[in-house]
Amino acid sequence: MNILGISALYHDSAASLCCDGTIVAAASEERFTRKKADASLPVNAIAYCLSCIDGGKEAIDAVVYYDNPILTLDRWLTQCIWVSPQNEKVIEKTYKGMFSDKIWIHDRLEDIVGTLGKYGKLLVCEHHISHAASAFYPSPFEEAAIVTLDGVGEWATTTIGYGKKEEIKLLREIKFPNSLGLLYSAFTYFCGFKVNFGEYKLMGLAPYGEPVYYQCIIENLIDIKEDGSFLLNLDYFAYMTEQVMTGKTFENLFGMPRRIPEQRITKPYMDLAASIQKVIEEVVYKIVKYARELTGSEYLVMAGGIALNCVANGKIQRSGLFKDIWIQPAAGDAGCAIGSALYAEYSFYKGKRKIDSNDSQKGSYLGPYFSNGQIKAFLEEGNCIYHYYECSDLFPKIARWLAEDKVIGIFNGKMEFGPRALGGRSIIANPMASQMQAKLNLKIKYRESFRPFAPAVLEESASKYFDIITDSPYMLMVADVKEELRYEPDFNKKISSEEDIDMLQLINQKRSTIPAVTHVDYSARVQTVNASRNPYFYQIIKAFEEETGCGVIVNTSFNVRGEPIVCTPQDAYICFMHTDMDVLVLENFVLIKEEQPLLLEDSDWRDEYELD
Amino acid sequence: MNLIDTREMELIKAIADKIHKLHSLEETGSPYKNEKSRTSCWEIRREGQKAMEIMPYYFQSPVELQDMLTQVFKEGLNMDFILPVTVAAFKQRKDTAIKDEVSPYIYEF
Repeated sequence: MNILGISALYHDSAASLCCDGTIVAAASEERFTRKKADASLPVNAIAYCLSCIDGGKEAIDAVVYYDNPILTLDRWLTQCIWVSPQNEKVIEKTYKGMFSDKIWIHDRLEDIVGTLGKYGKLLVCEHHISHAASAFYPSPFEEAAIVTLDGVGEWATTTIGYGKKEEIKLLREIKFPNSLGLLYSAFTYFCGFKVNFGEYKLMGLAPYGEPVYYQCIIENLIDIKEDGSFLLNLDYFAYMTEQVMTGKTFENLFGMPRRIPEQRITKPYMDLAASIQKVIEEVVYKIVKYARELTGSEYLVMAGGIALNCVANGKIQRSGLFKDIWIQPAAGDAGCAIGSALYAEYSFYKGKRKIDSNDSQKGSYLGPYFSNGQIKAFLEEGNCIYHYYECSDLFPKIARWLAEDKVIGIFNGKMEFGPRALGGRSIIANPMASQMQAKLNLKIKYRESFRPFAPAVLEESASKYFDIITDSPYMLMVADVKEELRYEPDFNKKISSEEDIDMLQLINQKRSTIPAVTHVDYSARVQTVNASRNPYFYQIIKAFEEETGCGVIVNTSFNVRGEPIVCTPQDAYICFMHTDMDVLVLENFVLIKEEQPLLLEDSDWRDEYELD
Repeated sequence: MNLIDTREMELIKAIADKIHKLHSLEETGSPYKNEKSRTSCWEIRREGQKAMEIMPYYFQSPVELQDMLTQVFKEGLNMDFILPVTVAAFKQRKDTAIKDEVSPYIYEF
């Protein structure tokens, strides 16, 4: 069956195409519209998916939406009654969103896709089943415990399920307003970052602080039971009654105001980040432990926004609780486009599941691809100055430039699906350069200086650099840099709250032989790369190893702050020209910055992207 | 009221009941304090939770629901008022109604 899966209208809209259970294509709408976390109907992502099948929309058997609008309406209505009559304004504000498209989704999609496939009626799949299916079906496991953790979907915020062959059952759930996702988002908001955007920044900030507020959080904000279930004390949260996450009671509890976005980050906010990270790790561990007991399975799969917390994931993996774990790379709502389509294939159409011993996610390279011919046509049209190299010459050249501390934009193969750049649309650099983290943050990405960068390492060399016990192809696990590679920094004193912290001085400390990818606590968000998933990217790292003896490179997403990751050669070229990147490699074409003509623009490009 | 069939009436009562329960909750205090003594907060997930049981029909138009809610807020949680307003707000729209699940957790829309 050819099934189109749709995730839309909340955040991170996306579409996927699954044919007889094989994931053929998947893409987020933001990559096409250039609007981060775009929640609109994924018209462009759908068009891309339909372009990947002979016959286009005529070949589609069914269209599946990832959320049951009636259950969501029920929750919204209940919440309206709950908060009335004092908070009519909230209802007025959320009302349009609820009724403009969501409950008319079948009409809206019919406008785009036509008759909604041969089946002729829209199928809707429950939100957490979509998450669960996105985690279980592409996994390499025949059976597994399934844990989904997110803000809210319909009523559920957290579920435990069990999958075996084609069947998935949800066994337990925790309902709104008790939500780990919303708890984490409340701290994201309070620390001055944007909800639904800045959660990974909070995670990156945590190692700079101490978990001094941990006790305060578990005594006042969340009641954690032994089996991982939990209750939130809504007296401290504002998301039920206002359009913000926290209010005065939260400020009073911690004795500080909400940090104003873009203001200097002081020690108490670092401590808050560290404290909530500790709480999340504790709850998530208890939940997966209970899932292990409940299902009896030795394998675990996870999805939902909280499953992107790679520090918590790494701890679960190292705990030995499960023989193996697999996490959907597009763990947020975008991944539900895949999950809902696969669930329809196996539950509705009773398809036979094919299990790949690696996984069926295809390295998450599921987006648009541009051939050398298409790239050449673009470069010619734009009067760009370029060089063409065969791969045998190209990879050593890239390695040499990296060794010279040049920063390189890489554009090859299909675009990644999910929030991580995995070598298809990446900016790469030398991890051994001690100033590289600050340089990349401030001159290339234009983002906060504290944010760490991830290493991409040859799979066979991973254990030489990191304390990692399994492969991590999707950059979803954090592991420590090997002790023997670490340095004791000169400036390593604990940050006190009175002190005016020089973050740059802290960040520029050489903490290991690969400082640009070593976080302040010696951790790293590792991507292991092998020749079968992405041979092009593998060859680059291999050539760098031959050039320098180091089998690791810096890998960060190809974008600037607030911009979605680049999709097309044009996006890549523009991003390259806007930043201090030195070299751009588009498949086999190379562009050197100083050779390029000036990019003439009518306005300041920085105004195009809202800061995230 | 004469235009409402038995099934619709049952559903309207179910919604009114929900409003009543929420109202009761306000009187008994915070669920956090009430439920702190529980050893587990997991709920057992029913297989194939039916959307039909909760709300089978769309409102005829979004405006009707908005009107209903506005009036509910104005009047407060008065059951004598809520029931007829709710009844008035519901209209049958079987052509676009969500159907019973066609497979566990998946529905026709």
